[in-house]
Amino acid sequence: MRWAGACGAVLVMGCGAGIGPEVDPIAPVQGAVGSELRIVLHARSPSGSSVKFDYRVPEDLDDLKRRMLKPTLTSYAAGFAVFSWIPLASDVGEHFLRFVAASQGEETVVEVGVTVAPGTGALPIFREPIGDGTTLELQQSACADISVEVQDSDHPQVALSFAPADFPNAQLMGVGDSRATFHFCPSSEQTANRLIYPFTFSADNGERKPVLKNYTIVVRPSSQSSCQSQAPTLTTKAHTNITTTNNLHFTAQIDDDIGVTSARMWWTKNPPINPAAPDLSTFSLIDMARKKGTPLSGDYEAILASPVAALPSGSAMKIYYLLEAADADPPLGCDHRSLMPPSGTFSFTVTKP
Amino acid sequence: MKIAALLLLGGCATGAPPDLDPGLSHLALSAVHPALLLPKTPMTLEGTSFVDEQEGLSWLRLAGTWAPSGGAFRAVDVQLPGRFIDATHLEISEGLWEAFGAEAGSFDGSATLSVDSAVDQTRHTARPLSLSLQLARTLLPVLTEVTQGPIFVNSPVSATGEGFLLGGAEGETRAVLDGCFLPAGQKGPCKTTGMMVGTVVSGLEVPLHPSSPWDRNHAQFPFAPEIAGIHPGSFTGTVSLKNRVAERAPTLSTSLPLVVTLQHPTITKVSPLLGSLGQYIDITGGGFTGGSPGSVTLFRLVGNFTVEGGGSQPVDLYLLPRYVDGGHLRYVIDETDQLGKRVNLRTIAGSFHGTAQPVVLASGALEIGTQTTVDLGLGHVKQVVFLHFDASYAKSLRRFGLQAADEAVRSRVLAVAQRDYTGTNVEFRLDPPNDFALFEQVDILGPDPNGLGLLGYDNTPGKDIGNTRLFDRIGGVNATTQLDGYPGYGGVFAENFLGFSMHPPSDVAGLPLADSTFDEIFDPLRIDRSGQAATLTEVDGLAARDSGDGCPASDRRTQVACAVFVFGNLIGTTLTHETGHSLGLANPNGDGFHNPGNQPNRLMDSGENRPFAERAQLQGAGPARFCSEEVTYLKQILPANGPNDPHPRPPCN
Repeated sequence: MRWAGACGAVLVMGCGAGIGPEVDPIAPVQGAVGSELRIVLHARSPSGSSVKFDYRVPEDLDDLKRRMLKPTLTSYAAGFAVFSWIPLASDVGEHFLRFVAASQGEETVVEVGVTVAPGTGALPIFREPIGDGTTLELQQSACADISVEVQDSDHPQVALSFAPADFPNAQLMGVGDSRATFHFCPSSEQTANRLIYPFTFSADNGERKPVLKNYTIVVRPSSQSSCQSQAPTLTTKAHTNITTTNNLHFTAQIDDDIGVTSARMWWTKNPPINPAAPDLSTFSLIDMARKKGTPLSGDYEAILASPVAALPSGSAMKIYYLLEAADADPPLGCDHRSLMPPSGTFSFTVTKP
Repeated sequence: MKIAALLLLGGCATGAPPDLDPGLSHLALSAVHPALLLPKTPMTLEGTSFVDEQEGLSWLRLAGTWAPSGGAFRAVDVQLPGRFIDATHLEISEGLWEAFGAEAGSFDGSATLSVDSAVDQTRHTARPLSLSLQLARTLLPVLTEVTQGPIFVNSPVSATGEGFLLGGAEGETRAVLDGCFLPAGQKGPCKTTGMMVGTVVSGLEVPLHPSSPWDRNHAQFPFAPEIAGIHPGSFTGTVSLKNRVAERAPTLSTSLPLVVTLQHPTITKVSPLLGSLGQYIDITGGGFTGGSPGSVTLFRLVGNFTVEGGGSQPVDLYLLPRYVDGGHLRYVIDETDQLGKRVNLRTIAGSFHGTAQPVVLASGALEIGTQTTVDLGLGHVKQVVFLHFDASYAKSLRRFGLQAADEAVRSRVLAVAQRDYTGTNVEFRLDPPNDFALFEQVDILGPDPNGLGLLGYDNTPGKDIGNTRLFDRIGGVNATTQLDGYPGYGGVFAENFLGFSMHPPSDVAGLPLADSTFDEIFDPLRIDRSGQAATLTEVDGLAARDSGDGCPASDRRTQVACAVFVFGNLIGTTLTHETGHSLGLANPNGDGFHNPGNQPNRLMDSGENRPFAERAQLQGAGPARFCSEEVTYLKQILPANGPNDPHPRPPCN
């Protein structure tokens, strides 16, 4: 089954007193240096005779037929031919190739516009920063300086910008060919209201849609020593040795100036390798529930299911444990975590009757 | 290679050029999705050898019987246009509903895919596929099961049932939540100490997404911070489903109880445990947030960092990885963040022992996750090099009679590259890296686009002493290099190795170093020299050679093996030479790009001082190696802990 496709405008000229072959129109062609460019030609002779093809060298490509890597034009049956060409670096630009279809002394010339691009239209790539963001540690520096670098193989220069544009205390400095430094010094008013600052860097080579990179700066205020708030305090009595199969209860009073956000009990039946600094990754964890009071001052309890209930009568197990209370005081970085005991663990023995 | 022109045919000529491949020889239709369509549901076709509109117009013919709901059967035969998505997917988004009279019902028959090719002016038709379809105006959702128990913020909550919508143009199924959330450690009632989430009528709606493509029975929604915040606690309530379809009233399911416990954010795995500059580190766990304004998860490391061969110092670092989903963060080791400011990632290696902890921020709230003990390693800076074999290289293989040996040639090239950089932290790969954000790429091409007849060319700008750029590309065009007045196109130009022949093809320039041994190796395979190209049978099971002993050979199998060996060596040593340039060689402490003078088996000698036998590793010559000072420099900028190359090095001067 045959069907019709689309085509662009071409210039067709006949030569000689008779009628030359009828050449199918050819749309303008685009190619790139180093990549094969192919043009399919098709013509019909009025008398049905065979058609031969050739091409004429334009002035701006006058060496085209003399090159080592010259184009080829291969004819096939039924009036088809294929023109194959790998453009070189020196061929970048717009050209007009003329193809000649000849039959029985009559010629038809068709002109085709060919545009050779230097590359394959690669987009700019952000080479710095490669990550998605960073923290600004205010105890170390008041400003974040982020190196921005873009690579574009087709363009030695790329325009850099960021959004939101005109953001207070943010600017691009030292802007050069595809490089700059993003400089952000948030004011105390800014950091009092928010800590997370999402920015978008843009690289525009002027040829295609700009490439964007999102980058977030999270401000972390000065160290905890300068925080105004206090750590939680825990008051508890160490659990004593006990003989029972009942569940074990651990209580504490916890106070905090802004509010406790979590209270937990860490426990294990294995002696810590370093008693003074136990490795909590080897402990089990139980959340403590507030039985009375408020996050500012309350009574908390953790319940541990009897560890000896399933053991033979008279079995004993030593339990090592500590209690933890934490808060998340604003601004970010002022969180506290208190342990009881402050170092090491409590321990006691539970025995099955 | 796409055909760049379309033709307008007035007549019906036959016999299109055999050289033209419309790319439709494997055209096949394997599946049509989904089986049940609503008025706006796009239909997706799966198969092989699909082409875009520039190369051909695709059509789907549906022929069979149509049974409208409550109506009589009738025969149908309709043709619908397809839209190209990719080589294995087409989409039909218009005309289907109208083709069946804009009414609900069922179709039973066959689906036939055809493509009207612009390349050969022919309609290509795939084998028909039996097909049954249901068309419905709307769907009633049914919820039979939903996840319960402990979860994290942004964990997927799975729903099972029927009548789920697929999203997009078709419409959306939403979960409607009502209930009570209590912070950890608190007990009810909810009204005094927790939040009331809402009622059925004005409940909180969260979009569901199919668990797998086209699945109308399983879907999930994230337990997003918008539902109950980011703090640990328990949610007790109900969930129902609501189907929203354009221009129709929503349909609702009955509700089911939903009881979930939100846990502290936690990290369960960090991988890999050893990383270097530019490498991705995957952090898995639960309770992570991100991807929207005001929402990030920080990765906090507290512990001690011990410098390799040096002392230890305490660290408390907050790093900002990319949010992938509630259970996955991706961090890239970067010089611009706190880690990069604390440690010189290009000169320092070491180990970290301590704890890792997620710190979650969302909508002004902060939740600090559990600590997990970790041991992480910071490796020496590594240069990953991706070898990209261009389509033009594949064509050049034919000229050497080696098109059937492509894989064997690439393996030899990789072996040569790894050999030449033994003892340094350079890693060559045949696949594009997905674990490094910074890597080099070297293109292996056919002809030289510069038109200069080069064998290889490093087109990266200047001399990168110290290898500050880990992302160079030896290939394509480099506009900066062109601006400096140098040729702009880089790579290894495999076709130009034919210049070593005493009888090169007319379109390849002969080289001053032409060698008859080249012809002894390749003439048996070169078609233009009356040889025979290697066949798949001859290549099958070919043992990889590491030596040129016995080459050239007289028996066919060894001839093929020698040709693969030599061609792989020619490409391999050229690419290792050009890669050396991109790393700052030769003469990293001085001027010039090549070793002075001419010494045997010296890799960074200039091209005219590197004879064919040395490149090909024949007749006792080669392999060429980096000279001793070059190795010292490479190990300084890219140190590795592996074994050194025990072979003696040529002198540098």
